[in-house]
Amino acid sequence: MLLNRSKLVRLGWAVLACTLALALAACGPTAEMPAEEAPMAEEPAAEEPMADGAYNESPMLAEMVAAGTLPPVEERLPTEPFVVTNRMLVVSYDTEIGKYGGTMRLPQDGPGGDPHFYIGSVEPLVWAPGAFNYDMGIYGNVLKDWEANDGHNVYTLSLREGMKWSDGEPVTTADVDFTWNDVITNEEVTAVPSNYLRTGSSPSAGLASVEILDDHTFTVTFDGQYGSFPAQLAIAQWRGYQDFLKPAHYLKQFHADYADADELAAKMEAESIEEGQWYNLFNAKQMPNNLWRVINEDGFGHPVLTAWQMVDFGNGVWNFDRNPYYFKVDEAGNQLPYIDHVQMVLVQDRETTVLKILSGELDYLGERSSLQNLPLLKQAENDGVLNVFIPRMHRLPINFMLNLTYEDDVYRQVTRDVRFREAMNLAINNDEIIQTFYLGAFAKPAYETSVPAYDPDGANALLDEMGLDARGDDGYRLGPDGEPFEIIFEPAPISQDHVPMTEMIAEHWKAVGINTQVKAGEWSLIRERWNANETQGMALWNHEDIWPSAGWDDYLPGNFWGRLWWQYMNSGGEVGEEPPAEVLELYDLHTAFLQAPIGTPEGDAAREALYQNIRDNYWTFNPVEESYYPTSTSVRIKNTPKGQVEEMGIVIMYGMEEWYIDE
Amino acid sequence: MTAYIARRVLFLFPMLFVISAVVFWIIQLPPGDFMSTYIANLESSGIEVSDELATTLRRQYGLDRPITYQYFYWIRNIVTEGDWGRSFSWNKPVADILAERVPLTVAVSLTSTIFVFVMAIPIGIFSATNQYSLFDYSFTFLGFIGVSIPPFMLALILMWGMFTLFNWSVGGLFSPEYIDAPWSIARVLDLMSRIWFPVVLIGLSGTAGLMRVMRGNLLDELRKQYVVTARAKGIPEMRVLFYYPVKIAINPVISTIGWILPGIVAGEVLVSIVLNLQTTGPVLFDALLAQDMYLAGSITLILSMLVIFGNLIADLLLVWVDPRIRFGNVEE
Repeated sequence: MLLNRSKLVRLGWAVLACTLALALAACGPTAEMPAEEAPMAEEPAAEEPMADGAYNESPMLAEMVAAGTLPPVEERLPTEPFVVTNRMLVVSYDTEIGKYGGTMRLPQDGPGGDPHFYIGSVEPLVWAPGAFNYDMGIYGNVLKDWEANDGHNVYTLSLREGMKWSDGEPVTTADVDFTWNDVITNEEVTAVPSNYLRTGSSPSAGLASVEILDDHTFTVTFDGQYGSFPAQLAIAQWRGYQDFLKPAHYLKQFHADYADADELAAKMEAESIEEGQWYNLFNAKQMPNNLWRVINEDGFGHPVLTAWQMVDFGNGVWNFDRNPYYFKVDEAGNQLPYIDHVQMVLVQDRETTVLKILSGELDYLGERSSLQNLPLLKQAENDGVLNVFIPRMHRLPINFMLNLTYEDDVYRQVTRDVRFREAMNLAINNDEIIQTFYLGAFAKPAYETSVPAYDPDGANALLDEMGLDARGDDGYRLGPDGEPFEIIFEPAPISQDHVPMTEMIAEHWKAVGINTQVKAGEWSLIRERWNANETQGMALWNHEDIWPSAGWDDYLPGNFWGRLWWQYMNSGGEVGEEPPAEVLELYDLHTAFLQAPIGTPEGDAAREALYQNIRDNYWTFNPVEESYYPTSTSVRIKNTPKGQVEEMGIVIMYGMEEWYIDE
Repeated sequence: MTAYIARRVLFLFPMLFVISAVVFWIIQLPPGDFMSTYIANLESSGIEVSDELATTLRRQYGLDRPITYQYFYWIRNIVTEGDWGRSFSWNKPVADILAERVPLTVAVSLTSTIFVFVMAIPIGIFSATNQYSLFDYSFTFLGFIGVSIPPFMLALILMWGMFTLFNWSVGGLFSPEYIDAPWSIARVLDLMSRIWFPVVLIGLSGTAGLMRVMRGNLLDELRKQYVVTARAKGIPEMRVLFYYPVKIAINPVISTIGWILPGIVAGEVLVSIVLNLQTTGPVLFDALLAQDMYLAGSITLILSMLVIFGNLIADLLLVWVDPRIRFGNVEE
């Protein structure tokens, strides 16, 4: 029933879109503007504090200042605010000084919160220009600055003086002290702190130690070299400042060490939390792991450092107002964000979202559209409703993985032979995939993590050489035991391209005699089967394009290609199976990459060594890299790019505080 | 009669108990729980969730307890405190979510039900009395189209048509500026200007189906001996028609009240999702997908209760409308 419905809806839209595409052939992707040369090398201008009284604020806040309900803007901003210049938030296009005011309306797919607005809201401790250009330097974001010692194990971090939480309370190292000593290292509250707080992000390494130097400076010390730590504080995992900064003045009321016992008991009673489990109340009120609760009603009332904060919610609508204490200004000294209000509107059906975008009722499409919708979007652009842009995707759109630890001797013998994996890589026709799913132009054959060669003859030769030369009556190759050999793929149905792409790969593999079947299923069920080591092939996107940020490690066997090896490495050898030497080498290279200072030649070499291992061993199969997707804002939203850009879509989202409304 | 009603009401309690247990059990049946769906969602947007955090969250939500404990905890709170539990994904008491959504759902469903009756019954009667006329053929044709096109598909097509022809975005029950505004005359007018679209859409397939049922039943009756006799006796045609055959033909329509009642509260799920209506249907749909068990369980339990009550009401109505059932009982 469910499947039927979504299929039908898709079919319906496909028909409509095709008709329209025919009618509007002129505005198809071929008419796309060529990407402008991005002036990537330009360094961001150094931050310079403004002279006193040089700051401007939104008329909405100026009224409150005039009424005496809010202190003047100079007192709300830190003494040295983050100055947003061109090449700082985004590097591949220019932004301009905007106008204040307005309400931006964004769609939200489910009640739990919207990832696009989350990315637009989250504030990391540090920031590399354009989010990923570490070679241009890593600058303070929430932090004023950071410094590493020569051994890359002691980091001195400094806060911005005069910075304030959204309720006006100052941000000081007292917050750091509370966060580290009463939350992160309190075993009742945080059972296990995040891995990145350990040396080299290794689960078995020692935890950092934090020392407060003065009101605005503290050090983070590791017991070994950890050169990627600044990068871990930047964009990695979309985490924010929460592991070093929490509003102590607000959270102490929920902490057993500080709160009045009776008041705490009353609060627990009100939330139906069992006696003695105060940490459950605390965890329900704080922001653990990331800042997701900034955009979710769980975090209502929690002071924040983000551009907008939630003011009310209900009936499928969430309203946010600007944070009067936000710490960023533009080059002209205007306090950001430009947009006063953000309204999230629950729209559960994706086609309805697209329709509301096309009508200009909602302002930003985000990652919800595939290239098949491009003609529709371009038509609306010609009608003057939308601004369409085609940024880079931060994920590999699809990655095919064979579980090399699946419990079957023949399967293991075949798939663990690197010649087999090389052959299967050669069998994949990357170009056909790019022509079919990327309109021939919006993706490249994978070259960084894979060898972009299509050579079915070479594949057949390798398979014959392996001893898989006997074929059955159906024309498919027999296994080494002389029995029919079959591989079953279970693609994740979480993007509309995953299943058809897997079907196409299955045809490519069949063409070289490997019987490959595609089994559609529900994603959480497939995951459960993977957890039980019951899956063979899976297909899902991964985050290859942002691996260099050291925040994602989905090249490891845990990403659906070696369940038992992954368990072995994670449990220190207690469960699972010991991996072979090449996998152990991958883990060593992984550790070396995380230890090397990022954005330096040393770090680049460590990353290249990691890619080399992945390419040599063909652990997984990536047909394409550097893909693009179409998205749009309504024309009234400014400071977003036009046409195809080299910038990743998420970086444009990160710069949401720079967007402004011009009706 | 009183004994009959009393017996039916008494049966409700064990029935509800069994239903609640089965509902809870079925929601738990798929592998994984709310946390695994939640984690899969986070992971697909690039946020990794460690096993330890998952354990902490499971403990916080009480998902580490055995299912029987969870069930009795839920039932006890419903019975003793009228507390339906808390939704994980909305992080709100179930009662609050329903309070927000049920009134609008009832408004939409009730109007569309009335729309169905008002449209279907007269058309059905007219089609039957003028069988094989142009009118009958055209409504038969429309009826088959109405039954065979799924309403959500029709919704998509009509929305697209409205948008391209009139540049009018019809999704939702309110214009953007009124979604979260307090109730006012302007907001009611805004609701009125938009509600007719889902009402007509949801009503269309119902109308088509009911029209066919009405026509078929009435045709059966019209051919019976007593109708011929009545005509032969010279009773005016309209009196013949409405005094007996229509009354009998309408019986199956009354029986449908049994499932109309829960339908009024649940709303049409797929159309509501497509049209972005703030009704109960999409909430239930999402709760089932996410294994948000207290929310899904409570809604399903309430709907089951309404089915049982609806059937009771339908039976009583039938007894009242149809003398054959009434007298049948007496003879026993």
